[in-house]
Amino acid sequence: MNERRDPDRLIHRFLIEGSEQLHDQVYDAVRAQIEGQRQRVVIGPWRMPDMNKFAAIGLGIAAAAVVLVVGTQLLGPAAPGGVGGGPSAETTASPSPTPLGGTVDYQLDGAPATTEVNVVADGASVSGTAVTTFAGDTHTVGLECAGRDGDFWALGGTIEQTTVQGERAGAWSAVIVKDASPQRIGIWLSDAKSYGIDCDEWLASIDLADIGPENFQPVESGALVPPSDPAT
Amino acid sequence: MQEELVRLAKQGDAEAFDALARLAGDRCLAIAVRILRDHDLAEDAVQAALIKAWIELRSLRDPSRFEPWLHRILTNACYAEARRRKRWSEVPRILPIEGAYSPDEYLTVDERDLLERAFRRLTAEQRAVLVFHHYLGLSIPEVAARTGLPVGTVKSRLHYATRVLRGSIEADARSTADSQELPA
Repeated sequence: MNERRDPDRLIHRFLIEGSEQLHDQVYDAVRAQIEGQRQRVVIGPWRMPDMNKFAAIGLGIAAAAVVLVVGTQLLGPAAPGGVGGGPSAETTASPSPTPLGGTVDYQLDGAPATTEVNVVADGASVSGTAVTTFAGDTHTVGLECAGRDGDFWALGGTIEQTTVQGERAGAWSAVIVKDASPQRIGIWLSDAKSYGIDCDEWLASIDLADIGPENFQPVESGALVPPSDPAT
Repeated sequence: MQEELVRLAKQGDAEAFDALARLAGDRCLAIAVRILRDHDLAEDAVQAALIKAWIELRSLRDPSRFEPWLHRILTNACYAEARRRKRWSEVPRILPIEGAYSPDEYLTVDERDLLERAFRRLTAEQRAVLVFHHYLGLSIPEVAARTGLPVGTVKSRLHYATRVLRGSIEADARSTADSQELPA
């Protein structure tokens, strides 16, 4: 090699030289796949799942009570706020399963939407369902994990059944809540499962930093109580 | 034109997206080849990125940001390919652009081989920073935005990667000089 040549210039040249042309077969393959692949329908946000700021609290919730408090439709003993009551949450160290849940109402594109959550957290696992209805469709998620990132928290799991056009059972889905006044909700309708990735890892891969508050729908009925952080 | 295609594609127009893909495809491949150092892996990454882009397109708020947004998806697709395959067997097909540079600006075969070997010692994440900085000519804050990394991380990766490459070049230059000083 000619040592008189500037290393930085060589590096730059190495990186810029050459040209590439993508084969038509690749475009054809993309076209074939997208023809049968609907674009993600999202209620509320969405963004690219590329950074890992959404620390999974999953089962480290350590009996944190994940409660969706609903003004008039409280479900289960952990949210005893009663009709018309304010936000309500309970944190318990009890290892026994704690039934939690509730129903929240909000507007989507001017039409009413409802998300009903029935979840049990026993300090080591999260299970239950989240059922969202809007525009005549129903989207049911079997809950498996929970996560938190600052003001955001979420319950994630696998779609059990859905009538939302273009969505199908078996994919990941999540109920996302942003604590604000009023609190806000977004539903991640679906994300295809990757091999070897479990619910906690999927939830942990979600980056909420890019989502502006305008992407969430304000909850009109009830208040949403976030999961407690075991570190606090 | 591109913004109009983005708007149409966001409404589910696959033909518009195909046109968008063809506008961005070559550059995406060039980026992916430089990060992955493998043409086949790069094509797979571009294909995966384009499909992901179609699925996620409705999340793109500003149609004028399509290409940076696509590059961010592509970068993640490259990382995924690098992790999935873990093979770095092929020398990338990078063809010199005729007439773009004066002859003395071309890399020699030895220089290219040396840099190729050094480049393969870097992680895909380090390569991505180099590629965005040198190939796309982005500033460090722009690279940070494009890759989703903090500015400090971009700086450190760029510093480390450049040091590795520069070290290889300088070591090669020293060994060449030493061999030339040996008595016959």
